[in-house]
Amino acid sequence: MAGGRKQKAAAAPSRPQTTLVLDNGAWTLKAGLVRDGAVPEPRVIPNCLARDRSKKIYVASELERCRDLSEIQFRRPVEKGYLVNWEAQKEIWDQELFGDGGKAGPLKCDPGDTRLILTEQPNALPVLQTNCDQIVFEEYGFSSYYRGIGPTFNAYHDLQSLFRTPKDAPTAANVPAEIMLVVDAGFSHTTVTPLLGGRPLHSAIRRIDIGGKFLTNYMARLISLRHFDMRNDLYIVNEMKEAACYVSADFKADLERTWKGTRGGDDSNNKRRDDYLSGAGGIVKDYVLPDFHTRHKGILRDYDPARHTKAKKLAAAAAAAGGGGGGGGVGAEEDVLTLRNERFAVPELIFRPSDVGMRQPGLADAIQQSLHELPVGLWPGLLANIVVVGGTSLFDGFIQRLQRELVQLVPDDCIVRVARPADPITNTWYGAANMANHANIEKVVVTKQEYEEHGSAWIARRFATGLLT
Amino acid sequence: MNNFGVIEIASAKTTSAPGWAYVPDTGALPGANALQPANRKRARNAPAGVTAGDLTARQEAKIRKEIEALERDGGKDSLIPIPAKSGKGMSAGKHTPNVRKILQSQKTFSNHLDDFLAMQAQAEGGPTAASNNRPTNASSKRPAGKRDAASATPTVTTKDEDTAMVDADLPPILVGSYRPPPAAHPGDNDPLLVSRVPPVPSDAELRKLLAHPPLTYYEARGKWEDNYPTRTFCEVCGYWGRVRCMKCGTRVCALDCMETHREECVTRYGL
Repeated sequence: MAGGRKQKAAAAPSRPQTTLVLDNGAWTLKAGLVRDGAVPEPRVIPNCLARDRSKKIYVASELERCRDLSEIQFRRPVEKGYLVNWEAQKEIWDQELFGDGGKAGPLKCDPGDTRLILTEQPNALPVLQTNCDQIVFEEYGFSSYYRGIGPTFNAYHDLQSLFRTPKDAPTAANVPAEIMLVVDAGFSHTTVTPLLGGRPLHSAIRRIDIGGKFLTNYMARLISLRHFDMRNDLYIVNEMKEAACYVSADFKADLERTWKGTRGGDDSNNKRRDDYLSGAGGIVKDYVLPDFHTRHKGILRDYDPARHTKAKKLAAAAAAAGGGGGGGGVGAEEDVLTLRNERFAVPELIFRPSDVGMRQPGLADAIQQSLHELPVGLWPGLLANIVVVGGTSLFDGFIQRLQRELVQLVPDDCIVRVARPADPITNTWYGAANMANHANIEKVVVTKQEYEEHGSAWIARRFATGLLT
Repeated sequence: MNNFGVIEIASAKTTSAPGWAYVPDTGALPGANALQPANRKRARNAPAGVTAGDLTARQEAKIRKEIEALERDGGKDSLIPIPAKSGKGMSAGKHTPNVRKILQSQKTFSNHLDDFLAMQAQAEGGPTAASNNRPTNASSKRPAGKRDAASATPTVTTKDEDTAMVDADLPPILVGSYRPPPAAHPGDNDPLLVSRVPPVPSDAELRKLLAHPPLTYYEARGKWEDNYPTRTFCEVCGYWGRVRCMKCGTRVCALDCMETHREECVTRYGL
């Protein structure tokens, strides 16, 4: 905090050896110190302030100490993907990155002799960017700083090994991929960013306002309509979404299978009803909700029709004997949610936002719109190198579905390859860490001296022109 | 059902926050026109020729409200305060004025977005007015610079600077294959076998693309194309919405779900 006033540190123009790489996401922030070419594992910290039922407040990584996550409320400094609330963000950064007061933070970073590489989402508002620059230099006093568009850092990976391409030449180490298209499906939205040598093609960046948050809210709404009210338990719903949801390969068929059918007793209907009751071929799953006494994590398990009929009978008997209290759950000791078409209807929104009436294109359409902004000569290269990152891309079947929809949209001659890195959540961070070790990093960063000389408007222009490597 | 002829229209709704915000006049929100009520008829009396995709104003408003709810973060809009720490109060006085202003700002993203849109509209409408109205007192120097950045980046004015940096002897952006092309084959010229690969754009073209200034927040949003009819779903069970409720127009799949829906088919005011 006091680093901003240390004129001595800024006066020494020596090249900082340490780089703080910070991928400041809305759900989690990924941070780590890169020193001397070594890339450590980043810390993944929830980027939020949380308040539980007993009004106790948890800041960022303190959240793992929270025992009772029901009805927990969050306040996030990052809104719609962009860093908006600095009051909260500073609190989290102070605690997690720099050590707060006497207590040293887990990362123990000294901004005075550290370079900062910070990611941001594309198409940010200039005001927010300027705010960010001012805080970085005036409050923390980093010695130098680069603010780049998050998806661009994904170019600093060995792209072809991700696609398992047979190599024709040993690719030079640590050179940004020549041409690729990054799909970043995050918490707040999903963006499509074509890259050329690690630089974004700004005119073709597209965004859909559907991300993990939207899907969680939608799932909470569906469950609240069909089972019980979970609109205040978004944390639990999110865990359920991560455990249970998948992207359907054949939406119509899956929807057909999970339908209970109409009334009436003709043969096809009876068959459908049997299929429905027996679990629709593995689509239907039970989710055992956590009660935070004996169970802290929900469990996903296969649907067991016998359990449900028995439990129903028990409940009916209890209701008959007690004469009321019909609102009880399935079992006495556990709350079970039966998930049917919620499992695939929720992630379906990424591909069809219009299913909830949102007037935005699906992901494949957005990619096509992005391509139409570019010369046709670039299409083959972009389509053959699509990388999907971000936590929302972790749904089963996501990349297969995207690949299939794209193949149907683009010219036949183009090869479409969609890949997801081993860990899509930290991939951007690792890319940024690789960039921190790049020889040309000094050319793109802005030093504190330059900031003091030229001001924030100059920095904004400089970062907007992108990376020249 | 009868809401006394009052129909809620779509508006760029802003949440209240301390301070003030520029609010765009009209037309700044793409898609807002599409949400304007075009049809004030009751759901069941929809005029002939309406396809399944067409919705009444009431339904549009409902959908818009639902999407707004889905985009919100968290169930309640309660603000969690920063936990007070001992020994923290003394450091509060150390911030520079800019930092203090940023830290104390309680603006949300939509406030900032409204500001930005208003700024943009002003820049487009009268650039001279914007530059003349710049405050001159020393204390607000930084905001003025900020305003400059805000209005300058989306426009093409910075472009000269970018092109000036591009030199003729820069390395090519896309280098060719590392491997020599495969040996010629007698069938290469066969018109049936020849493959048509679009030419790779020239370096100058690519540099022009790379120098393109970033789009604004709304420009980057995917454009809605009305190519295909939207799918409708049963609001009770999630299957295809095959029939409509006679009262309110909600879609359900079959009789079972219709009965479930009918129990709670209330037509509330403003819904």
